[in-house]
Amino acid sequence: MLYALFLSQFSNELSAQALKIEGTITDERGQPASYANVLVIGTDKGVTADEKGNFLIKGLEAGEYRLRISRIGASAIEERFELMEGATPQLQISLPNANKKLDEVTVTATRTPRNVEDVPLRVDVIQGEQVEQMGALRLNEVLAEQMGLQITSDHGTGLQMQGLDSDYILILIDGEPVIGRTAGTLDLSRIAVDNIARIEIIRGPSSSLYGSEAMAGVINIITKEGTSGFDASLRGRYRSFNTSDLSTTLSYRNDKLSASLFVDRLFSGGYDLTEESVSMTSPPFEAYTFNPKVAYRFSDKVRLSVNGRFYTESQENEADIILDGETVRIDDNGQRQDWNLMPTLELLPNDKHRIQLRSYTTGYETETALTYQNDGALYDENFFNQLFNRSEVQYDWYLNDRNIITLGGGHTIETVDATRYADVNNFRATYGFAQYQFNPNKRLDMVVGGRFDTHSEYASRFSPKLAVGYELKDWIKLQASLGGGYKAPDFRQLLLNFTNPTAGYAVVGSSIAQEQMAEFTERGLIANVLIDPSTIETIKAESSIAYNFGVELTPTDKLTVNVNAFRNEIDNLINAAPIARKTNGQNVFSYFNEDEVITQGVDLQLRYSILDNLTFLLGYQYLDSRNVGDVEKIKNGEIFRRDPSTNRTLAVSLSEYGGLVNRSRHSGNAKLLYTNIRHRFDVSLRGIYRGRWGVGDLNGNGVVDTEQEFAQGYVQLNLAINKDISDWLTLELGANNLLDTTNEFEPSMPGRILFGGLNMRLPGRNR
Amino acid sequence: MKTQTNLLNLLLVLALFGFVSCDDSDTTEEIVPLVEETAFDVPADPDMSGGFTYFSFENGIVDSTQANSDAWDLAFSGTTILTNGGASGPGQGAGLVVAGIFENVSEVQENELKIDAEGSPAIQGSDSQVENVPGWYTYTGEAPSGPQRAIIAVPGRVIIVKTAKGNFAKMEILSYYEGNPDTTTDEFANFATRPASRHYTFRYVVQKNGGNVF
Repeated sequence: MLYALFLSQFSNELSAQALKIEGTITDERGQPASYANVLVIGTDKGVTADEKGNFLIKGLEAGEYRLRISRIGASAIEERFELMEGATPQLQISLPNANKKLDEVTVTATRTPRNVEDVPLRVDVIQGEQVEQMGALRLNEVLAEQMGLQITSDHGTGLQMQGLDSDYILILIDGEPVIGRTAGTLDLSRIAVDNIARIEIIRGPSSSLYGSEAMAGVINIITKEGTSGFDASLRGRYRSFNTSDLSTTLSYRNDKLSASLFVDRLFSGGYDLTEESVSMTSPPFEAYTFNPKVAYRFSDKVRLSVNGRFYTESQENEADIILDGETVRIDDNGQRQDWNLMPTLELLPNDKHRIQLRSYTTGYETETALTYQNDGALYDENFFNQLFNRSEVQYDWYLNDRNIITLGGGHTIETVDATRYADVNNFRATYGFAQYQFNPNKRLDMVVGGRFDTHSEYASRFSPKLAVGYELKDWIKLQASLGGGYKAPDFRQLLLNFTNPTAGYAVVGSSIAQEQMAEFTERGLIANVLIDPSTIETIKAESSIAYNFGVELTPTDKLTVNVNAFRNEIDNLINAAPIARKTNGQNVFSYFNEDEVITQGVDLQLRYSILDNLTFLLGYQYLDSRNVGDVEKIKNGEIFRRDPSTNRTLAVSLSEYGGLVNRSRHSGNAKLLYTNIRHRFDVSLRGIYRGRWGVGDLNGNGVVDTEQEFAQGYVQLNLAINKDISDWLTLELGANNLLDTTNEFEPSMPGRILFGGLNMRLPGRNR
Repeated sequence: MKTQTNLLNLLLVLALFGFVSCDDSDTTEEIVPLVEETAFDVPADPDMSGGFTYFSFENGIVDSTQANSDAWDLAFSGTTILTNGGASGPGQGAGLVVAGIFENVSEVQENELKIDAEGSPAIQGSDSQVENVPGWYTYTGEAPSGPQRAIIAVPGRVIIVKTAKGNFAKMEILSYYEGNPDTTTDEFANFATRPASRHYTFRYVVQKNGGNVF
C-alpha cells in the first residue's frame, strides 16, 4: 500500500517533467507577435516568444492553467488550457491591440453583438464599473459626464445629442424603448443605474434600425446578468438634500437558468432655488424600481428570457395661484408609474442562424391632483395613461465570418387616454428592416441597411443608412456614415386638447384643430382667427439627413484620439404657432411643420494612459446649430432688435445670432481616473464644462441675439473615492459639484452635493 | 484670347451703365432738410375710459374737441392707432405698417396705403397671419422667456402715415410704456416694477414739401 503510493507519486513526478505547452501568438492582423511575454499564472514559469511568435513552456504538471500573454503595444490577455498526460496542446493566440476595447461589445449599433472596434459607427460604451465608480444614482448623472451629451431641464431631466433634443433620442432598456415623455422629454431620473452592466451610446441617426425617435442617436442600457452561482449585493448611500438610496441585487445562475432581481428605493427631500415662490424647484419625492429577470436555456438551440420592470414615484409640491385677485395656496401632488414585460425567445438552429421573437408591453401612467390647502377641495386634476405593445421578429444569418444579414419586422399598438386628449386614442404601426454587414477585407467594414415604417396617423417613411469603416494604417481608422432619420409627430402634436387653467391659453393638436376650433367658436371663445383651421394640413413626420465622418488615431499604445465631424439636416420641424386669438386675449396654438434646422459640429475624444493605473480622458464638442429660415432672414436684413438705451431698431447681424435655444457652442469634460491596487482604492475626478447658451428670446425678434438672452457658461467638478475595506465591503465617498456652481438657467444644479455610502457584495471582489 | 475679348466687352458695358446711372441721379428734387423728432409718453387712454388722444405731427397733442377736424394726424387709445381719414376722421389720412429700418425707408408708395375702415384701422395692431399683414406690436402672453403679458413694439416695423393735410410721414414706435423703458430687463418683466402701459414714445419724420421721398 505504502509502496503503491510511493510509486504513483514517483510516476507523477516523472510525467510532470514530460508535460509541456506550445503555442503561436499573432497580432490582430494575423502577423506574428514577436517576442511576446508568456507567463503561467501562479507559477514561476514563463518565456518570451521567438520572432515568429512561437513559444514552448516545459516542466508543467497535469492540470488546469491560465496563461498571461503580454506585449508592448498590445493588451495583456489570459488564456486557459488544460494539460493531460500524453498530449501537448497547441494554442493559437490572437493578441488584440493595446487600445482595443476588449470587452466593449455593442448590440445596439447593428442589432447584432459586435466588437465596438469592428463596427463602422460612432459607439461609446460606458461600463457598469465606471458607473459604480462615479457613485451615480440616476442615468442623467452618468450621461452628463459624456462628451457631447448635454443634460437639459424641460418638463423633466432630458438630454441633447449632436445638438438635438430629447425627442430625437431613443432610450432603450435591454433593447426595448422606454416610453412616457412629457413635452418630448423622457425623464432620465426615472432610470436607476445600480444594475447597469453597460450603456451603449450610438451617435448619428439610427432610424434605419429603430425607426422614429432615433434621429439623433440611441442610448441602450444593458442590465446586469448574474455571473455564476449565487450573487448578492446591497448598496446604501446618503447625499446632501436629505437624499438616500438603497438598492439590492440578488442573482442566481447555473448552466440552464439565470435569474435576478434588482430593487431600488430613492428618496429625496428636494431643493428650492427660487426663494420668492413657494413651489420647490425639485420637490420631495420617493421612488421605487423593481427589475426582475429570468432566462432559461432549454438547449443550445433554444433560450427563453423574460425581463420586467416596475417603477413608481410620488412627489409633493405646493404652489400659489391667483384667483380673483387673491393668492391661494394649493397642494400639488403627483404620482407616476411605468412598467414593462419583455419575453424573448431566442432560437439558434446552428451557428449560422439566429432568430429572436420578442414581445414587449409597457405602460406609463401619471396622475396629478391640485387641491386647495385650506379646505382640501379639488382645484384641478389630470391623468395620462399610455400603453405600448410591440411584437417583433429578427433573423440574423451569419453567412460566414465576413457577411451578416439581418432581417426583421414588427407591429406596434399604442394607446393614450388622458385628461388633455379628446378620446382614447389608438395608433398602429408596422415596420420592416434589413441590414447587411460585410467586411470584404480585413481593413474594410461596411454596413448598409434600411427600414420602412407605416403608421396609422402619418405618412410612411423609409430610413436608409450606409456606413463604411476603413483601417488606413494600424493606427489610423476612418469612418463615414450617411443616414436618414425621422421623428413621428407625438400624441401631443396630433391630439392634445389643453386649456391652461391658470393662464387661459389653449393648445390643440393638428389632427383635432378643426373640430376643436369649431367648438371654441360655438362657445364664443374666439375673438379672431389667425389661421383658418380648414387650411391646417395633416402634420408630417420630421425627417433628417445626417453625415458623420470620423478618424481614430492610436499613435502610441498609451494614446487614443477620436475626432468626428457631424451634420444633421432636419426638415419639417414641428413647431407650435398661434392659430386664433381668444376673447380673453390669450392665443390658441396648434402644431405645424415649419422649420428647417441644421446642427453640425466637430467633437474630440482623447484617452491617455499616463501610468498603468492613471488615465486621463478629455472630451470636447463644438456645436453650430441654426434655423435655416432665421439665418436667411438675417442675411436679408429682416431680423431686428432694439438698442436697449434708445429703443431704436437695429438689424441683427449673423455674428450676433446665437443659434437654437439651449445649445452651447462649446462643451467638454476632462477626467482623471486613478486606481491603487495595493491599497485597494480608486479616485475619479471629473470636470464638466458647458459654454454659454441661448436661453430664449427677450426682445421679441424670435432669435437669440443679445447678451441678456444668453446664460453664462459654467464648470462643474465631481469627485468620487471608493475604498475596498474587504473583498465584500466597499466604502464610497465623494462630492458632486465640488465648486458649488449654480446657474440660474440650470435648475438641475442645486449646488454642492456630498455623498457617502457602503457597498456590500457576495461573493467578494479582488481588484 | 476669346475670353479676354469677352471680358473687355463686359467691362465696357459695365462702365457705360455706371455712366448712365450717374446721369440718372442728377435729376434730384429740391433739397428739403428733414428733421427727425421724437414724441415722448403720448398717453393713450391710460385710465381705460375708452377715449382717444389726438396728436398732430406739427403741434403735438391736440384737444379732443378738435376730433372732427383736420387738426390731428393720429389718435391713440390703448393699442389702437387711428389716422385722420376714412371712417376715423375728415382729413386725407391713410397709413400702413411696413417691415424695415426707420432710416432706410426712403419712399412712400401712395397707392399701397390703407384708409381707416370701421373697426379696421389702416395701422395694423398685431400681425395678421390670415391676410399676411404686419402689425406694429406683439403681445407676449405667457411667453416662456422674456416679459409676460406685455405689448412689445415689434422692432423693424415702420409706420407710414399720410397726414390729415396730405403730407407723408414715417414713424417708428419705440415704446408702449411710460418712460420708454428697456423691455428686456427684470424690472420690466416684474409686474410690480413694470412702468405704466398706454404711453407711446415714437420718432417720426414728416416730408413737408408734399413729396413722397424721405
